[in-house]
Amino acid sequence: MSEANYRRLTRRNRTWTGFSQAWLGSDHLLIVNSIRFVERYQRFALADIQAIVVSEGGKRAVWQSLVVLICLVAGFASQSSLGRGFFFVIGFCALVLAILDIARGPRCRCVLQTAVSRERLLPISRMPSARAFLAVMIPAIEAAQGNLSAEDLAAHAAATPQIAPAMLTPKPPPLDRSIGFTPEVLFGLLMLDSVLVFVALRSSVGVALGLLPTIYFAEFLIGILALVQSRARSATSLAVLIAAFLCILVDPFALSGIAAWSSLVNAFRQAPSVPQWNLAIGASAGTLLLAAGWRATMAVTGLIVCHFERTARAH
Amino acid sequence: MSFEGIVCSACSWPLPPELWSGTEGQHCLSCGAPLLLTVFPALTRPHVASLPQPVAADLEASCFYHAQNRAYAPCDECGRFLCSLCTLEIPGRILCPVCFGANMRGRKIENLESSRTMHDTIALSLAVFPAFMFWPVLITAPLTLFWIVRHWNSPSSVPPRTRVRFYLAGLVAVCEISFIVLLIAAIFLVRR
Repeated sequence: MSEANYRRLTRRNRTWTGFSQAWLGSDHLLIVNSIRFVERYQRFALADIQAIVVSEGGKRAVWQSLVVLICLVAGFASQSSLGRGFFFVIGFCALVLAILDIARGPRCRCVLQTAVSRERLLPISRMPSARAFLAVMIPAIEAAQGNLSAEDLAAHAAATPQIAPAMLTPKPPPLDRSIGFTPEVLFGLLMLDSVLVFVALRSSVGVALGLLPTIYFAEFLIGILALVQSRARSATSLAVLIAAFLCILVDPFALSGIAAWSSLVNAFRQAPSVPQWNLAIGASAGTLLLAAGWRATMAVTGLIVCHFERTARAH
Repeated sequence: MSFEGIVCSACSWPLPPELWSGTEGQHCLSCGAPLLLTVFPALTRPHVASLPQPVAADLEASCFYHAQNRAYAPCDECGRFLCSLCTLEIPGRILCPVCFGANMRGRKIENLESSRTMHDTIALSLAVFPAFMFWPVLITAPLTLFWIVRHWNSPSSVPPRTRVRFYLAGLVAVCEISFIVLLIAAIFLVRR
């Protein structure tokens, strides 16, 4: 087959690592999957294609609108011009991406079936491109195979084992998903952080500045992970997890963060040229106990709940 | 392995024959996704595999690999007689398994190639990306020119593809080399 005999069927469907594209040859469909430096080819003889199934996929408009809304709210709520600019730029990018996504049409999933395989066609990911693809492919396949008469289809359908409606067919039992250990990791981290926060708030500005941001970041990140992986968890452990995450969100703005922030500002104000890193953090005893206390309490409660959940599952 | 019936491309649930008519506006009975389903005559065609026939008389030609089987066709490459079991048909040719394997290894049949290296993309990447760090260009710019010369006639993509990446890579590499030469000359002149 010479190169000129190929006709382009779809645009390049780009991914992070490459692209995929469909081409029509004289007697076969060519799917090109590229990983930049290497192209891999799949060929489907037009005479062997049994069916092409395209199903429309879900829409992401809700999530896209939510991201834009959050960025706008955060931008307006932000006090500094840097924060406002950051959120507005992110929100603008999200808005442009959402508009482009809507303009490209609904997503879809296309599967090509032969007698021995069912292959998902990656180049066809949108309904408009699927319709354009079918408009070219159907005449080409029919030219190779002929038309399917209604009688042949009815005879084949009669010979095919009857498929019970999905509503009446019992679905297989759900898989027993592993619940993972991320919540336990979070509660263990909170236990450790209760000590670290206590140390940070009892020491100097330099130590607090090194410790507290790391603590907040780690708690926030593992908290998000634990929430994402908590689908198989019981209601009790989920409630403790949500309570712990709310405390993680509130703590930097109400308890430990506020105490450290005022001392940091003082350190800079007293000596603008060289900040006094050795200045002690002026956290009150109540703040100190609350910041370390909620972490220890949540850690102990969470670990106990997780322990009982695992015991109940094991039995 | 053979597939009976058609399944939904979203949830893999079997689609009943009532949905095979190909009209728009149908939905999967399991996941409810809107479907666009097209069925072709190959679905109703029976899968028949031709079995090799045994040699009936002494004068009949037999397969080179199976002496008990009647010859069906000769190999277009080596000329050996083959039974229907050993015949491998590719568009326009019939090959025996040995010649087929040799062609596959030697990449002689384009329709059997499953992958190709994109030397023009490699050359362009070699010319462009090291430029961000500047000093690697001392090695990569000449290497790019070597790569272009070495792979100018290597097979490119199976679908149509121009040589614009090779031209661009060559242009960038020549510019890089010229810049380095000018820089060295300027340093030499300033020191004198």
